[in-house]
Amino acid sequence: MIITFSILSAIAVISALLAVRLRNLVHATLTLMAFFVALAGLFILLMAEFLAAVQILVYVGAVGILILFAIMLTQQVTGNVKEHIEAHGALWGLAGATAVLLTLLLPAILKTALPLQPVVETIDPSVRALGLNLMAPYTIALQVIALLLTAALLGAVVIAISPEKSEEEKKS
Amino acid sequence: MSTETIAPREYQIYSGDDLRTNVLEISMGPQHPSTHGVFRMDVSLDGETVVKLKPVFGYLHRNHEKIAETTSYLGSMPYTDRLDYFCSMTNNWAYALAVEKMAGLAVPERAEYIRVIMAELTRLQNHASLVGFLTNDLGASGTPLLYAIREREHILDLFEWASGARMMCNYMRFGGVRNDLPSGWLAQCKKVVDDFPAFMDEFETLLTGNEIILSRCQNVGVLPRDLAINASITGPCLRASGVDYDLRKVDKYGIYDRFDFKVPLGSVGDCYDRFMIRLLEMRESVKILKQALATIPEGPVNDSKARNFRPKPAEAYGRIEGPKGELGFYLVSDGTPKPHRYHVRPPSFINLTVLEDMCLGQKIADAVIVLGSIDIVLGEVDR
Amino acid sequence: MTPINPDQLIVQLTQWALSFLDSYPLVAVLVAILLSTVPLIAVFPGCFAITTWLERKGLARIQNRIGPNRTGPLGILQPAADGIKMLLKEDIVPKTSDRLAHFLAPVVLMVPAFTILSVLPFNRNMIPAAVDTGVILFFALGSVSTLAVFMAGWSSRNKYSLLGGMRAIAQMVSYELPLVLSGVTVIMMTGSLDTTKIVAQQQLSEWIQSSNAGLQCLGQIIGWNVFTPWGFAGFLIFFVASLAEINRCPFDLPEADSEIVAGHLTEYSGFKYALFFMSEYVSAFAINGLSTTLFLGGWSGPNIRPPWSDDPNALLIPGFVWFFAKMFALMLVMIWIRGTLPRLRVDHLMGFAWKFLLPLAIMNIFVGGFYYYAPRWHGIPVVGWPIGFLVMYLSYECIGRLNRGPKTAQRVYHYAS
Repeated sequence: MIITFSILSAIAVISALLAVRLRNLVHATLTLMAFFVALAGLFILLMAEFLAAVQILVYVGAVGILILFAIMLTQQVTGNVKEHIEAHGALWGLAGATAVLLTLLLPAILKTALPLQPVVETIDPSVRALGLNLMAPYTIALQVIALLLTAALLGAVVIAISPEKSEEEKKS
Repeated sequence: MSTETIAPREYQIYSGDDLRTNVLEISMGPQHPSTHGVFRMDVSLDGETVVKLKPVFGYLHRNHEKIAETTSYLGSMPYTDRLDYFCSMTNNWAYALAVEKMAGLAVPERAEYIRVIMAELTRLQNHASLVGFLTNDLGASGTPLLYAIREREHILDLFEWASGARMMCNYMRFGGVRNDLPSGWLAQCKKVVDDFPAFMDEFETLLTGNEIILSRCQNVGVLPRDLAINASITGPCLRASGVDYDLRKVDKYGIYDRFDFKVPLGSVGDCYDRFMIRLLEMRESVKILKQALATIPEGPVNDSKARNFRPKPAEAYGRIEGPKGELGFYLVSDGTPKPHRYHVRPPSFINLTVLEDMCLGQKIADAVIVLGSIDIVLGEVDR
Repeated sequence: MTPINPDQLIVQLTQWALSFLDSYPLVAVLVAILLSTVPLIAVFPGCFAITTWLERKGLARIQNRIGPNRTGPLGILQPAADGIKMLLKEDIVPKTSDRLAHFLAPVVLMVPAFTILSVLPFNRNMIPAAVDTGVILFFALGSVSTLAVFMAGWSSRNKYSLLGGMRAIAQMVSYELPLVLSGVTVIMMTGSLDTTKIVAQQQLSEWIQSSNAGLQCLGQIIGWNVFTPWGFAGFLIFFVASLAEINRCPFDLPEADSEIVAGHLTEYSGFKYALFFMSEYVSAFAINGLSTTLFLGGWSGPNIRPPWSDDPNALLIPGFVWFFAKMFALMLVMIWIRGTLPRLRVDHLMGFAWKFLLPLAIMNIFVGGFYYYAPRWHGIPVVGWPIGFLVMYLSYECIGRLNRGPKTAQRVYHYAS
């Protein structure tokens, strides 16, 4: 268990770093996806297969592809390899990031009673429970998100349609 | 060629407000699965839409015309086989017709019939294979093509029996044909012709109603009537655009005035019309063949004197309705045994000139089927 | 000693083998993992070899040809010859290509193709990975193949490859929706994402338990989802969408040979090409296996009990025989379609997915819901079935008609006077 965890975490950290550092956008995206897959592996270790599946389905299958589409629209896929990123104040940046991370994690860390109890028996990770939760206490939130996404979808369709229409009008 | 009346080659790239996409330039060919030989299209694509298309050819140039000018008249006859290697019989006939016109040679009755039979058989196998190749370009993994090839085999067997070669027939001679038909040939030919409509029925049932073929061919690669006339397009491509021009009816060369057949015409001029016109022309060819086979007389088939001769200084243009369009030979004689000028009017080449006009604004996949529907053979385009 | 049950023979053998390792739990786990994965990796390439032969032979017969006939009787050794040829070929990598991505693409395609096989129940108690989110895991891992195709297309630095890759992404993303939505109906009716439960739901347990041999036999057939209106429509939608998902004819645009040479495969040769080729077929098996599981009752076939056994679950013909029979039947239909239909164009393809399959799949979900709650008479869906069928048929007609438009029609040709 601990070996698998270490391997997956190493892959996740390294690929995340590479995703930030690589100058080639497509490579960066590919390493980002490797990170997503490693994360899905970690979810599986936590007995959350559904979350892992959704992680791959949404992030690798949809978000990643979307990023690739966006990259295809850019002029220059490969940045100038020789030119280095200006690293002034890298330390300050690192410190700031660590501070933010700690602030976010601190309440959780403080609340946790150490040593940890085995979680698997206390929570019900089944899809049924997740579905029931989404449908009963969080119905309104779900519906609002669905409405928002539908609106976004329709907006995208409207944006995509208009040029063709104007072209047809030109023809006629 | 006057350019004013040709539709302007304009296509606006949609540029949104300030959104621009790069044009992708692809050199399709000369090694590409669907360019029907060594042909290249320099295509510029906006997404998958063709914005510019430049046909590039000449990879198969063999100096045909100049070689013919250094050879005797008869010596060029086998070379004509190699022009449109699918239709050597009609190539032979067009060349023979030009020489006969210049030298004033008469053709015996039986030879005229044999020429008509051979030409219409050539048309049948050419059109059948073309429709097969077109569906192959549509992505039908060769099934209709191999059905067509099966029928073509029967016809090629007939050619081989009569001339000794399946494709490079070299069968026509000035003032007739090389040799008389072997005994039993006519009966076998009759059988092939009688069986052909069954194949046609099968072919048409399978293809003409297919939803995918309909949606991919209709209103794709439209060749307007005016443009077709101005660009001197001939053959099935011209008739698909609705122009009633068939040299078999216009010139009545050979003995075509004796046969009862009709000329099918398209209305839109798109790939589907070009595809259907060929299917309908095959039916008419079968009709001509049946009449010719029923009425072919006995008699001599060639004029033995017309072998090596020196025509008087003259010029002549002989043309026939080849399966791909008007195939013409222009000859100038200076009284020597070799032609002073020898020029071919290749239908494949001239029909190809409107490729860009038909493809602009279409998808890259359409450009392939538009090229397929024109029906070119690179041997004839490049000469 | 339990009586021999041909159906469970392999399972029993596995358990017997594992029983020796009871004292070494770690080794037992490793061996169990190997015992469930190695057969997958061994059986499916074998199936792939058989299918390439079947496809060559079948296409040849459709096209009036004989097909392979030089290598062994009926050319059955052709896959071996192909394999040797592929392995010995030079591996050509374009100079300007992105070497790493070019190398990784076939691997990235191959791994999910084999992984998704593990959630398919090949027989009772014969599922390599029994997870309760099987179906969604299948779709999730299946969506990774899109990425591999894009990697192949982009890294080759070939314009045909790039066009093929872009086509593949657009097509796979679009067809994933009707594919998943038609599967959703089944999930909704079963109330589970577990593939074993989906198969069990398609067996009429009262019939199987009864003493009548005829009822027993039919009990594992009548319940298939494909025999319900929503299941039938869902099966057709699923099958068509799966054709697009695995780039088979008539949706083989990403590798349309007459347009863009071989699409994303243009710059691949030798063993990498073979890997691509194999992954494509293995994904085809996987997706056919899933449609078998979702709609055709999975491993359940005519229920014939061995005469020597009283166990109601004992079967004379093992379930995996039926599973593979159904999977190969679907594969043969795919070969048949390939020999028959021409290819669609990009815009038609997208229109077909978004304007036809997607609304139909959504309609199908509603019909499924209605079928579930419609009153039944002695357990027979007397209301749900006819009304569901009618609604599905009408929506098929309506959506089809709305899509057809006036543009394509049979034409009447005139002759010159």
